Amino acid sequence: MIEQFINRLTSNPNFIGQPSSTVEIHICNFIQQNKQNLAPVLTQQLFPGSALDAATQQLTEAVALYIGANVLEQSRKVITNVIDLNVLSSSGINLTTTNEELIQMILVYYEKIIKHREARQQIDAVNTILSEHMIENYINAAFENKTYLYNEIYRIDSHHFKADAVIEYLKLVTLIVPGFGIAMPVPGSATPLCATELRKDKKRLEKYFQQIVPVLRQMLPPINEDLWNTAKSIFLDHSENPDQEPTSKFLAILLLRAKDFQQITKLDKGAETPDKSWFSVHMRNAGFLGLDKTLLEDLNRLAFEMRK
Amino acid sequence: MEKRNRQANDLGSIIENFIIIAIVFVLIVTLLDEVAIINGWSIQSKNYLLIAGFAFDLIFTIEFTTRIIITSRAGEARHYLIHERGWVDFFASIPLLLLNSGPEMILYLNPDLFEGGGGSLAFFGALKVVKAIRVTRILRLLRMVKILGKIQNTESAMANRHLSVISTTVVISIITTFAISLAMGLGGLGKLEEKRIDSYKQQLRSILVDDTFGEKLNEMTDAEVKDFLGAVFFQPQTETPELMHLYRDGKLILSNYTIEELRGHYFYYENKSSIADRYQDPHLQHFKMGKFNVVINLASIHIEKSKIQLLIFLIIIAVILTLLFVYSRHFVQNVTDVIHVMKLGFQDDKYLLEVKVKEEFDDDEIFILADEYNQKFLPEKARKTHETKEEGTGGLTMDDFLNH
Repeated sequence: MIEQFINRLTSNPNFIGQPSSTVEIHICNFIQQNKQNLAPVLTQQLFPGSALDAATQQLTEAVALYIGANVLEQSRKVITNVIDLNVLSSSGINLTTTNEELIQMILVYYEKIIKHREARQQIDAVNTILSEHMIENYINAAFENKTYLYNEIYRIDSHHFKADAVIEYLKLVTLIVPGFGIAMPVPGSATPLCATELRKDKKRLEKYFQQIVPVLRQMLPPINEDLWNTAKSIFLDHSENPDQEPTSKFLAILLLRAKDFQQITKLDKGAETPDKSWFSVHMRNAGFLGLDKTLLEDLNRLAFEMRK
Repeated sequence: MEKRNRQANDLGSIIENFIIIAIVFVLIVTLLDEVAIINGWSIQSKNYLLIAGFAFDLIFTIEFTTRIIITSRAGEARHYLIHERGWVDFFASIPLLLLNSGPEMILYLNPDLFEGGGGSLAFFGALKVVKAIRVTRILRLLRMVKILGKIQNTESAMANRHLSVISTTVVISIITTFAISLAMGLGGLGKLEEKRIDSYKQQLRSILVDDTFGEKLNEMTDAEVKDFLGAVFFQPQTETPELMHLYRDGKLILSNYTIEELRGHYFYYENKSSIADRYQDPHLQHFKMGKFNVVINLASIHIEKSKIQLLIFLIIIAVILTLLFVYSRHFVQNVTDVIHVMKLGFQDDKYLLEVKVKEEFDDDEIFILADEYNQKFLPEKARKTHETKEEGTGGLTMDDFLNH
């Protein structure tokens, strides 16, 4: 009955095209904000005999469980065959595992972290990035047109990877990022915080990394130091630190883009494309969001050229 | 109740579709009216066009009357007449039925009315004058503009109204200019008929009734008169000779047409010997001069007039189609779509798409506004959306929870 009820809520026409994690946030917010009015439904129909707070908590958890299951199901579809470690090994990055083993390991990793709200959102965003081929589209276009993104990755990263190796590298980093959605106790905060919430606080973010990285490494032993460092750098404030790794700056933008991603069946006449609009609008909010403005400008140009 | 509303809507849409088809057909009929004159179609074909024209004018009159009754009951007749261009519906229906196709139909059904003497003839003369109002049928195209406009820009009432106003203004300007030109004789066609008749009268008077020939003709037999005048008026080299028949004391002396030609192209009744049988044909003009009755054929002038009328029709159609498919597209892309996107941005919390600003028109006020919307409003809105994301409820309502 609960599942049917949640299923009906998530099928609300207002949520069409919205990411699952956003739907979850909206439903849970509504429950919290209106729990007094919802009391008869919560305590009599859905959870008979429970106190209002307990019933609210149970429904919120049930929603999280339902959305988590959906997100995981989506991950299983999206990330199978998404990685090609041979491309990376030919570029000098050798991971002591096979494609299949790594994917299985990542799925187990997701199952373990899915209960954390921010991690769920990150996994959902990763699903979007991979299913929409965002990394491939922008890296290929940047390498083809030798844009700012290309110059940053090719010259500054000094790996001199080819486009396909950069793509594989970025996909792998993207897959491991959701672990940083796990909230951990950090000094000066009464409640545990995750990496996203510490973007503007470099010192505490370092403390957070010191705690979380060993935990994540245990879950994904084949992932090397370079990959973890790139993943960590995603959560730095790039508006303050423009010299950070370009791959991290790029993924930070894509992760935020994916969180806002909405499926649009038909673009309104007279409107810019969704990606072009998003990059352009967020160029002006780069400082506020901690993103690299120059990179956003470059992606804005690429999106315009690709009509994305 | 809902079912009844749906049935009413279905009926309304059936009637609307029927009216669209009728508009297309009435325009075709109106064009064919002119083509029939230019190409000298048979009288039977002209009769079919006459019946069709009458039927359509009757349909549009019924439509207009129904609309005015319905809107009057709702107290919206004034709105319909002025703002929904009911006046166009009026001018393209009742006057046409009463002054053009209606009288033509009556004469078609009762040809004997022509033999009734002066009153009927005067009525017929008036009928020929108002024939020019047929051009107002083109106003029906404006209805098409309204309907086709809806198909192109379903959501834009502004684009539809804008296109309607421009089309109406252009069409009315062309028709008015044409009507004034005809009335003032500009272009040489307005008074050409009268001038041609006067010239014939003058020519015939000098031959038939002046001192030199008048007395001689009086003394000649019919055969002698035929030989004498035949040399002057017989016009075998002309496709449509202007002098058609010459009668003396009601007896046909001279004819430039064979019976077949008369049967094929003009109103002609063999059982009527009287010249009155010629009055029904709009191409023919009759006048009396002494003992002589003269019938002249003005088809060549009417052909010229029809060519001009056809040209006006085609110009109007071309202008309206251009407005509909070229200008409306331009307007929609550079005004309506821009406003539509901004409207969505203002109304929908989740809508964060930018307006596409065209570089070639970036000095236009609307694109300056759109640029402000893109550069200032949207980033601010996006920022607010991020800040309040943890509080948003995505449009959920209590009903979504309670009705399960």
